Amino acid sequence: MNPVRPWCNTYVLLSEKTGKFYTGATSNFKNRIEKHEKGLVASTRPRRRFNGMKKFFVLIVLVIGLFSSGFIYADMSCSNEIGKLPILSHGRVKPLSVHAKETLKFITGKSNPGKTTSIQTYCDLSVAEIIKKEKAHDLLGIKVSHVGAKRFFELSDSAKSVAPSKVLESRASLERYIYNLENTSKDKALINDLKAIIQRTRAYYELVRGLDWKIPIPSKQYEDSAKLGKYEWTPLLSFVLSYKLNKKSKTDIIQAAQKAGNGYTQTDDHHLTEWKYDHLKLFHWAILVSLLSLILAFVLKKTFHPLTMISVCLVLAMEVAASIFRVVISGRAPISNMFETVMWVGIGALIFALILSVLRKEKLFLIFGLIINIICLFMMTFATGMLDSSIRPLAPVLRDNFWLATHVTSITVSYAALAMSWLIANYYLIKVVIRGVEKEEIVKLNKLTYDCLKIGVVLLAAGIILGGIWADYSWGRFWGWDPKETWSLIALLAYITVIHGRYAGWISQKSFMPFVGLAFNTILMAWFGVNYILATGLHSYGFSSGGAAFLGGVVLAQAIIFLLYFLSKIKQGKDCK
Amino acid sequence: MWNKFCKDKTVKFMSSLKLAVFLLVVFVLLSIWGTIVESMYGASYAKWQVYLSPLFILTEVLLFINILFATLVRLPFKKARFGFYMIHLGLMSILVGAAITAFFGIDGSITLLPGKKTNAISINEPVLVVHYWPKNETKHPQMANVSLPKVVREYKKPSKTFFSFAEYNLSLDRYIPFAKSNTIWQPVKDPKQKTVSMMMEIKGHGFQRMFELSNLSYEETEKHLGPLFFQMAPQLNQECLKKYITDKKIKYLIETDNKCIPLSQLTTKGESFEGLIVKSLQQKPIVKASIVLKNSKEYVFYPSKAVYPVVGGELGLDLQAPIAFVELNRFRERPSVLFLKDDSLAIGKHEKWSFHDIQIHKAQPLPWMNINIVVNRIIKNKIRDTEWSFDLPRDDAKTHYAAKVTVRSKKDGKEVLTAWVDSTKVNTLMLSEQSYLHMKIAHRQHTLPYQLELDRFKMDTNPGTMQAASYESFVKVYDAQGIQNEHVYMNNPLKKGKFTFYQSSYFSLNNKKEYASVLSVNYDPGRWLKYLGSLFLVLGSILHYLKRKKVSKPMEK
Repeated sequence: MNPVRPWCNTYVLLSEKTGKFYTGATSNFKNRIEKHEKGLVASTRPRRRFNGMKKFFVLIVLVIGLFSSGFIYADMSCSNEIGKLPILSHGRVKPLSVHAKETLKFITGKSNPGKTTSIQTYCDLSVAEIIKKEKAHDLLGIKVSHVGAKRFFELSDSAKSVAPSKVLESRASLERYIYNLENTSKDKALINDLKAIIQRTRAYYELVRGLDWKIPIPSKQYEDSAKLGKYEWTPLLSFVLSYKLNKKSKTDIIQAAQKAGNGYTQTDDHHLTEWKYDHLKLFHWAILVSLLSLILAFVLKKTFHPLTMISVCLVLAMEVAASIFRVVISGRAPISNMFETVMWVGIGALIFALILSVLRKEKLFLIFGLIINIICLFMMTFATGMLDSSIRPLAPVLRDNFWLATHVTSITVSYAALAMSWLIANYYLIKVVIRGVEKEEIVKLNKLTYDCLKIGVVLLAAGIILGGIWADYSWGRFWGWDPKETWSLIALLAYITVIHGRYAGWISQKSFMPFVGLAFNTILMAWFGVNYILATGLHSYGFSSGGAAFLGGVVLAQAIIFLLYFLSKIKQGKDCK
Repeated sequence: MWNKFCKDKTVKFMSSLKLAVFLLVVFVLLSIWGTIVESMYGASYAKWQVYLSPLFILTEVLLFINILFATLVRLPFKKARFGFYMIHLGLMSILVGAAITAFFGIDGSITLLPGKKTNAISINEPVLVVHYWPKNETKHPQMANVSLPKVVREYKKPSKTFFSFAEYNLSLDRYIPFAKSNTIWQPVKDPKQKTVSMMMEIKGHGFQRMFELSNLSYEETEKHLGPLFFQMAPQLNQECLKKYITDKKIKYLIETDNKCIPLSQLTTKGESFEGLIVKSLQQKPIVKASIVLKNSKEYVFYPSKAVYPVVGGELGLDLQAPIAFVELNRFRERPSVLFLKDDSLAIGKHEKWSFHDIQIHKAQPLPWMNINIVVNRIIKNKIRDTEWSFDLPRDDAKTHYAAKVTVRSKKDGKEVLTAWVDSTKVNTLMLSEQSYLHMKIAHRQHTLPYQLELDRFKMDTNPGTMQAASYESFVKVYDAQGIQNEHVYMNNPLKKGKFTFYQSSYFSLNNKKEYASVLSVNYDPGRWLKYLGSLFLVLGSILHYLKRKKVSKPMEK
């Protein structure tokens, strides 16, 4: 069943064989056509080989003209072009294409839950009740993530969504359940998920009732308001009612909305920058080119082959371009949420690797920098439940570009450097497990790791201090044992302990690597763990959910590498005896 | 001499790397514990339990000593060690700066209401505020702010006096930060006081509500839940009500000595019924009546409020009175439940009434929307009292403090009274007639040498949302030089004398159009040391790593 269009579509087919028309109705267009093609529909079997898709559209327009039937093929009016229309959402004017993705992702957990593009799905849902004049239930599934919430709705543990009508029915008992939980349980995650389900359901019904899509109408309060750029954002439903549009015709509605939106765009087209940014998909391209660079770095033997360097620089250019886009769109430094810190660690690692590899004439740096960049890009692209790519207005406390830029940049670049040291350490550990390492290489790897570590630690210390000064400057305290602060201090002290241990000679060149690998876990905790596990405190403006599993996975992987390493050490010891 | 100092065993240990690493590990483990405690029980509990705990402070002090000795043994000065000195000097000055801030700094907040001058800063440190109002003195109470300990404490009796006033001494028996209140039932002192309290619940389809009725206070004798009406009338006889409730002519019932006297109206002149004189004192806004008994004792009633006569400035109920007076019409208009004498129950509406005995935990249907009433517990001849006990906090907003205090006479040291004082309300204790104590646990106040007034508060929201994008306070400062207009907003604090004011938060006042602004106020004498230390630390580590290679290579066993 296509979840987007459960109502019937009328379609007209032209037989190439006989030159005659066939009219039919179906709720699932693709299936039906396939059936026609395969000859599974009795009435059309003898006249098989229908014309291709493009000719259909022409014919369907004819059908609308001739019969003006209520059944219209969905994709006619909801084209991708309406993605360029402006919409006020979350305190900012965005292109509809981005808003559609964000809304659908909020409701279902996926930015594109339908079979068509997300903007088409959004458009279809927005007019669902307006043109049908009846309740549009269950066209999408509401995202459910906590097991406790699944049990509440009597779903299986593997279920990912619940029908909106089911949430609506059990609304009263759900609210009572939440109230009881708040007084008795410490499971904040369950309470938050249940509350989110209510909000998602509300968002779903707002969407299908035509209340989510808002149309810019020149404000009546001001004369010549269109020139001044003063607009009132009217929901689609009231737009249709107040302009007395033909409620049955989706095309009329969408065309009117398009006209109003274009009027706004003539006075202010800032949102088109974001449309461009969204459209270019720079991070997807960056993944491709990064992977290509990595392959080139491995295949081409020369340390700095021009091809490799060009490819790496291309990656860097794309990521920098993407962050410039974000600066232009948001008007602030692009480092305010998890997504952007991950982006910066990726960029930072690559720049850092590029400089170090040139200085030290060492290709390994470049390879490790690329790997960290790829890991970051993968997280940004695929871990969308954990990292939210949308650009939101900042909390008032954070609105200071100088401190935001210096403090967070310093911290993220230090994370990048320490991530490099972590990767080299793991490379060493895995190498020991697989085939053992020569002493010469141990010295070399130690030196590489130590290079990264030094820079990372200094930058981390500087970043923490800058954070303290910022906090002192804007709310009057240098240090307050906030969990984010405390964990970054813990991470710093963990590295300082390792450095002191190495200086004292307790940590030998051979055991330095495992310690570096271990210490990076504190960075992971400060970076993600505080937000996804501890989830409380002053830094709550950066919180989101779904990262605990990711963090657990990384720590587990690290633990397995350690285990294998120690097993191989024990084996080596026995062999020597 | 210096060599001797450096080779001393204690000095060697105090300056050793081993100690440094050990202390760092302890510090890290305690901090991790602190962040976990914070996520479970909130920031203020974590501070109290971990970051301000003696163990944590000891670790910090030892770290300081360790760094100090490590620096000392590396003297005399060597150019190659320049980075090292800077790093460790920086660390020490940060620690000293932090200590100065902790001991001599002030960190509080000031709430500015529009058009009201204030100079009081509230500091996040609980104190016991005591106001003593002596007899015939209504203007100036004797006041005291009693400092409270940082931990749960029991004091040996009789503990030392915290506050002395008139002929009394006040002492602390117990102090509990992070307290929760528990209700306890204590027997009444006077057995003539017939108290009844009932815990009950009403249940319907997808609906449940627990509540309590009792004759302990005026408000608790009745309860409105939607159209349902519940009334406590344990003086009223079942037979008496049964006889007259359906008779519309009868508006009032009087019951005394098991006699039932129906009344069709109240007059201001006063009428005699079987030896009683009943008189209306007032009709509006609510009916007030007086009944004079044979022994010529007068009782004043509000028959549409409670069946008991009022006592003591019309605040309390006279539970010893041998007479009950009730208005019937208000039970006839809506579905009502009356709790009568001998634990019986009257349920009805208009002319349909049924009478039952109360059975604990048994559901009794009510004449409205299939709702049932269940009585869970009946408590007789006991009064409610509050006791406080330690409780792990769930979040910062609900943190309560409680202390048990004893007032003794100065002459013979005898206990006058013992009571709980908490942070939720002002506790009033009568010492003698017209002399009383007001007590509360509140934040410590600090007075500024000048006054602040909120002129205007401005809040901008992100377009199309209710999210605040910025908030700004326009403040008037009144001091010896006159009035200055200042503008405080996020990232733009106001500096005045030794204090700095930061825009912290706001709340809307009752009328919703006006806002009160909350500024955090800060005085930090250790600030420059912390800044200087930070600069040293960062520059030192950069220098250290640039030089490092030439000085010493990492040691290898």
